[in-house]
Amino acid sequence: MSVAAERIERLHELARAAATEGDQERARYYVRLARRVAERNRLGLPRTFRRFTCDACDAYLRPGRNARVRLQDGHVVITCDCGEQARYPYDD
Amino acid sequence: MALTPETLPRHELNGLPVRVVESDDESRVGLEGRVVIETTNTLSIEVCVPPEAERWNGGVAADRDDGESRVVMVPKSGSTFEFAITDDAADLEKGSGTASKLADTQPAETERSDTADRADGDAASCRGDGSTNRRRAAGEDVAYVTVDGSRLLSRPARRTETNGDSPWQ
Ligand SMILES: [Zn+2]
Repeated sequence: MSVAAERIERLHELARAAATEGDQERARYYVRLARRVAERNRLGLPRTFRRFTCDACDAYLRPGRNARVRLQDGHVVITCDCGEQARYPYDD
Repeated sequence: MALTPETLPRHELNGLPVRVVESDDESRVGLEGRVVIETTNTLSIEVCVPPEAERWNGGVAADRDDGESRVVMVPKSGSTFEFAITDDAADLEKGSGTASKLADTQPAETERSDTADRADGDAASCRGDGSTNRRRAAGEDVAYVTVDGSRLLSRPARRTETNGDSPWQ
């Protein structure tokens, strides 16, 4: 695994830890940095990272705390506190 | 490419235990904690007053604001940093307490001489001094990497890139 990919993993962990501690701004900083590292090095972001971050405000999403998760017909809708909605399909 | 002394200047610094070994500003020498925010020219270090492990396990949201830990911003240029790295991020959290104790004043001198020797040998090719010290701390391997702050001067997201004529390769 490249240094860039590892940095993204570490930043993911840091963002999660910061969000758990309640420091949303710091979590955002880590999320933004991870995104920047990914684009500078032309890497995709891991799926778990994409699913647990808000595309609009870069918040690290914690279902039940700052995100609403609802199951609909064949897809999940996650609503961030900022109002942004993300949808992705699920299999039963 | 794991986080090793060689890759550290290109790797993620946020979250690593760090100690300021040398600084232009005397008051910053000996500062130790965890890197929480990196910018082009600075590192913000969270210095914990109580035992660190307690805070990590407790996970109380308001802990940070109680004055139990504070965040100090240190300019990269003009300072020398000592990062403690372990194989595992989980070990890192546990080990930092013991590591910081072991890394007290004494090792600094040995490292400085170490660095000087290396600098003579390598001549101008590698001006940045990244010296390593490997020791056994409470049964686990902790490596202390001393890096001159001027070597880290870069936008946080751009340090990883290797192409071009960059000093942090
Ligand atoms: Zn949002």
